[in-house]
Amino acid sequence: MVSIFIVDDDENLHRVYRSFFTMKGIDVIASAFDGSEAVKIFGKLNPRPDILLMDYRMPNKDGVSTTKEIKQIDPASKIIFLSADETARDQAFKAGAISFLIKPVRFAHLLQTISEVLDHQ
Amino acid sequence: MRPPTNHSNGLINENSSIHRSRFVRIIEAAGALVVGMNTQGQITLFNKRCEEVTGYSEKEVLGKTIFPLLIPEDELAGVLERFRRLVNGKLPTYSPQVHWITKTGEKRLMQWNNTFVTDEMGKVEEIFGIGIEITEWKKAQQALKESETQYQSLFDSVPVGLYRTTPDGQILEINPALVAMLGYEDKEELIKRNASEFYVDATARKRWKALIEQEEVVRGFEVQFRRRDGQIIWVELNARAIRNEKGEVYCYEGNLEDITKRKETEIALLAAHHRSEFLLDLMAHDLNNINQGIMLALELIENDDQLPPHLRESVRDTLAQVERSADLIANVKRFQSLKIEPRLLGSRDLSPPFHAAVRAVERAFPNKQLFLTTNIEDGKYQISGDGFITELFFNLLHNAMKMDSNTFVKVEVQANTVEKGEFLKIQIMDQGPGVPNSEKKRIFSHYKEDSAGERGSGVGLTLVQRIIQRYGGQIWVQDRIEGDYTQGANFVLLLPRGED
Repeated sequence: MVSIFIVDDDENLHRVYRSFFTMKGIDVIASAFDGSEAVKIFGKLNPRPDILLMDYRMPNKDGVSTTKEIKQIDPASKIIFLSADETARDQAFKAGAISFLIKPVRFAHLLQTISEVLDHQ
Repeated sequence: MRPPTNHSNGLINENSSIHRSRFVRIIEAAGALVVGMNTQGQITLFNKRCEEVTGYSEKEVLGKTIFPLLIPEDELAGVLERFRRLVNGKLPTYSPQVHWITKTGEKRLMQWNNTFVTDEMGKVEEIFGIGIEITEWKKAQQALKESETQYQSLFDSVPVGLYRTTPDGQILEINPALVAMLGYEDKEELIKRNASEFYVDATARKRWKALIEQEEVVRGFEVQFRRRDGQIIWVELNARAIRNEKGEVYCYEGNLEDITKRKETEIALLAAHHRSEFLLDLMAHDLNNINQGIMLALELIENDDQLPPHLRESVRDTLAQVERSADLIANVKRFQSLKIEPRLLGSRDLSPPFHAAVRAVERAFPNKQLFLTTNIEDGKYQISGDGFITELFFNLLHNAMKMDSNTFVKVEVQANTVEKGEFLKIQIMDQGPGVPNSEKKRIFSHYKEDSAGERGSGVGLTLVQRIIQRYGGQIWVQDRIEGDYTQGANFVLLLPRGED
């Protein structure tokens, strides 16, 4: 089963992501609502998630800084950005993101991206 | 007549070895007028130059009294007084300027030097006037004076500050407008200051000096000045360097304009612009987060097998509305960047941005399929454009996909060069509902409030038109099948070609 870690400051999005992923047989193994919390949780996760879904604009620590720290903990981690802020694209890739999607995105597109990322393993 | 000569005391005496005719020739060689008179004022000598200037021949004037003949009435008294003094053996201490009246009645101005000849007893026998005509010189001098007066009047009355300063900041000249602008009582008070004292930022004058000494002329240098009362104003300096014969800068001269109001407006506008950008960014970001939640929630509902068919239809319609809202936000942001980004056009291969737009449109309509026929291939067509080419085709293709209610959407895109190869004509032909004639011209206009749901609502096509204007091209819409708009639309673009 594919496992996923959702990092986003929007509670409502957490709920719909979880419902969808559960419906599609994807295991949401962790959730964080800001960057600092995400780093803290990620450090303790064992096994690591197959995919991290990362927002950009979040309190305490943004998605780019969070990605850098998570990549330091586990350089093999696969981080997909899902943000409404297109300007963060270049920074996200520099920090180590593997894909960048702009909100709003259809779930089918999100699933396809996850599948492509996992296929490249 | 004894030959005249210059004596050490200015007299000409009979002992001179220079003959009178030699004396006259020498004077004539210098282009001077020479007139001789006896003590009665009767003309005894009238040289060639006198003849030229007055129009009288020597023959005509010899023996006649000079005063009523050549001297104007209003100068007569002064001339007679000087003449009497000469008769009494007193040389004038200055060179008087006296008019002569010519034969035709014209007044000519002459500057005179007088001398006389005496007899053995020292009594004055003959008086000589040696003159040069200064009529034209006097006119030129008068014109110069008038010009200087006019310049001074302009300098004093012009509402722009004018100045002249030395490189070390000494103020050489300054006009009343500048005195008032800097809040001083009078010119004298201001001229004691050093120009560098007015600069709020001391390094600004150094930068300005470096610039003017290198460029000779500096225009539109904007800087802050401090007035006498401490108030800070914005000024624009325009100046040039004046160099001396050695090529060294002697002074700077220029004008200075108070641009405080303009600058304050610019600053306020910039702040408003930044605020609007910030708000737009915030709104776009937050709305798209909300859209994401709504979109996924609707998709969840859509995926529910128990959902009645009529509600499924409503959910799909609502999903389409959410997508429209996201498109609208994206286009408003693109509008903003279209205004901000500088126009740097270059020759670009049409194919990569066109096909990137095709892929983006396909992703935007996961439930539809695009059947595209095109002759646009890598390296085949070059256009003069910038990074907005993808946006241009994305919006046109998106419009075609959106308007066609079929799941399989057929679009044909054909490009060919026209106008002797200067332009590329691109036709985007769809098989959607088409554009009625009444709509064809206004389809690209912004905010069509009465067109909800029709082709062209939103800002997508307006954005297309703006991009084409940016490239110096044209766009219009015609029927795919001429005369029957219901067979689909043909969007025709004329874009300047790039270099192959």
